[in-house]
Amino acid sequence: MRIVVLSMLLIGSGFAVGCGSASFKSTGSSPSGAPSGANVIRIDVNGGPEVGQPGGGIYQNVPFATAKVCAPGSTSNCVTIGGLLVETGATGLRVFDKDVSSLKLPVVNASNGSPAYDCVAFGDGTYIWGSVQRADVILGGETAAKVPIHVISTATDGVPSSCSNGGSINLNTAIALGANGILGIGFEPTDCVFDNQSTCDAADGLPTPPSPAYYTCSGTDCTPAFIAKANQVTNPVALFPKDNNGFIVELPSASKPMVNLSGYLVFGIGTESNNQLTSSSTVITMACDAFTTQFANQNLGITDPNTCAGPYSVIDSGSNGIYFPNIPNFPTCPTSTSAGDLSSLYCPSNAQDVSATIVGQNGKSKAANFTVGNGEQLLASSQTASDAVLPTLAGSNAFGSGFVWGLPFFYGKNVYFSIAGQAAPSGAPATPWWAY
Amino acid sequence: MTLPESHRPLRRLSQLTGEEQVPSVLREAKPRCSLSAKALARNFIKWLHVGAAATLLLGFSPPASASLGGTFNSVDTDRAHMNARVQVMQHDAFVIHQISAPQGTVVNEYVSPEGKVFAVSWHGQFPPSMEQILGTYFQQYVAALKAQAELNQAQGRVYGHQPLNLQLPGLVVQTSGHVGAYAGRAYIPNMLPQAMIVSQIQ
Repeated sequence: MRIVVLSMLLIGSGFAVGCGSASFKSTGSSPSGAPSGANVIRIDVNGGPEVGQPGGGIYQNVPFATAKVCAPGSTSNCVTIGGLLVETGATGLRVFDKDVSSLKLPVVNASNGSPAYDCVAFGDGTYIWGSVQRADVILGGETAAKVPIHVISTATDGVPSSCSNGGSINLNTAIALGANGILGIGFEPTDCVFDNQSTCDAADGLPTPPSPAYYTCSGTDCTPAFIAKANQVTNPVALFPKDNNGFIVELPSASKPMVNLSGYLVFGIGTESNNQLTSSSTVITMACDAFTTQFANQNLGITDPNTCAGPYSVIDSGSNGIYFPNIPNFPTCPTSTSAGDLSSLYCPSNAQDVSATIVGQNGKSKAANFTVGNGEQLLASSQTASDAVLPTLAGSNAFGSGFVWGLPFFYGKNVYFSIAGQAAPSGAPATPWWAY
Repeated sequence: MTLPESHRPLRRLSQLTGEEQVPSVLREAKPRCSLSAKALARNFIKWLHVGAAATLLLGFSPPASASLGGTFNSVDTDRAHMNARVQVMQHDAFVIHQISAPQGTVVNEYVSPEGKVFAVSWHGQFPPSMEQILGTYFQQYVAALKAQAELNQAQGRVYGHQPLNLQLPGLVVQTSGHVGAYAGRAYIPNMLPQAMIVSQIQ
């Protein structure tokens, strides 16, 4: 879900490599035993590339990374794009057209032979729209060749109404998105596969193409279209020649607000000496890409894997807090603060420690304890205005009845994600699953 | 994504009201699409689940739905928009018109005894058209999103990913989930039937 800063004139470089232009008043500790190798890239919880930019803002509690995007087969016709939001809850690389236009990437066609366009509607009135193109995506020393990526249109028109949802918020600038793009490396191989079910390929059997998803356009008239699975916006990790069965998000611990925190993305699980599934890690298997959270004597998990019915607990590095049903009756933050309506966040007067247990479909379980801070103090206070790391940010899942384990969960952990359809490491269950 | 839960109170047939809301011809509005076997099984079981939770599965009905705040019998634009099937479920104080699109998106429209749509909820791999299901309330919703965005920009912050809980004058919009698994609900607090509690809007 996104509510975003409205777009204004973007001034400054579109390519903010690494930490961007933030000025740091303090930094977090580096992870001990830092991994190294071709399968490692750095991630930074640093507020993103728009910190300090005119009109831009700090994007707190989400990690950012850098990717190199090349014309297929070329090692010189490339651009390096930093400030990419690392999302484990979504799939595919999405970058702005202005940043890759010089590469003249080949377009990817839908099943009807016309160039394909992709729409991601975030369900809260925000969306991104743009062409599907093929590129080589290089993350550290790993190259995913000929990956269908989403090239976000920075134009303000040409978006079909079923994508724009009647003219709501277009995240067509880095300011609006709070990032130079999205590096989606979730559990799924493509962005139209969910829980092993694809719906956008004509072979999947739907009578008409789903929407909002893929489109083809005749002039300004864009209509939903089927697209072969191999042409859908694809998880680049799954296309690495090796180290392609998943990845590890490694972040050091954080107990109080900090300006930034650096960690690592390590590709592959059990494929190299630096990505072994440790014996202390618990493998959580899923159904419907979800699992169970035991909390306050309740099991917040799906009750039927066939229907996906029941409370829905998920893990997502792109969510900036831990969100859960307000069973403890925490006070919620005011609807009117200097930072706007914060009523979806918790506002206990003193920080509250919370105990929960995460349980997989396989019955394996592990404690997941965290602290709920005061959301108004964290988001509406000048003291934390430059802090990208807010380890106690938590709020209510007002409608959802499960847990959203966002980035605060990741601090101080190595969190493993395996990708559906890829080979599991020796001794581990079939993918997808996650572990910590 | 949050799907219907089974803690709604069960009702006896004799307690049902508002039968006039139920179309007299009960049939499938659209032929079943050729989903995969697993998806078909899911849909079937899902409907059984929903039916059981709502007590009474009255069957498939011809389209009968409208946007939030609209009248039940006005148009079936939502159904047509979603190329969907409609299922009607009767509660004591309201009727649910469940619109299931072939792509898996499910929209529940809650209709009062007066025939007004006072709440909508949705879940699925793809979000529904908010403009379609919020109807005349859509502009208020968008204005609130944009106002929050402007405020955040003035603050120099990106609001980021989180479940929405918009408590607006005369309108509540709450969303959950993420890409690939959306869910949410919207309702008009002062139009909720007296005997109803918000948690019944699933």
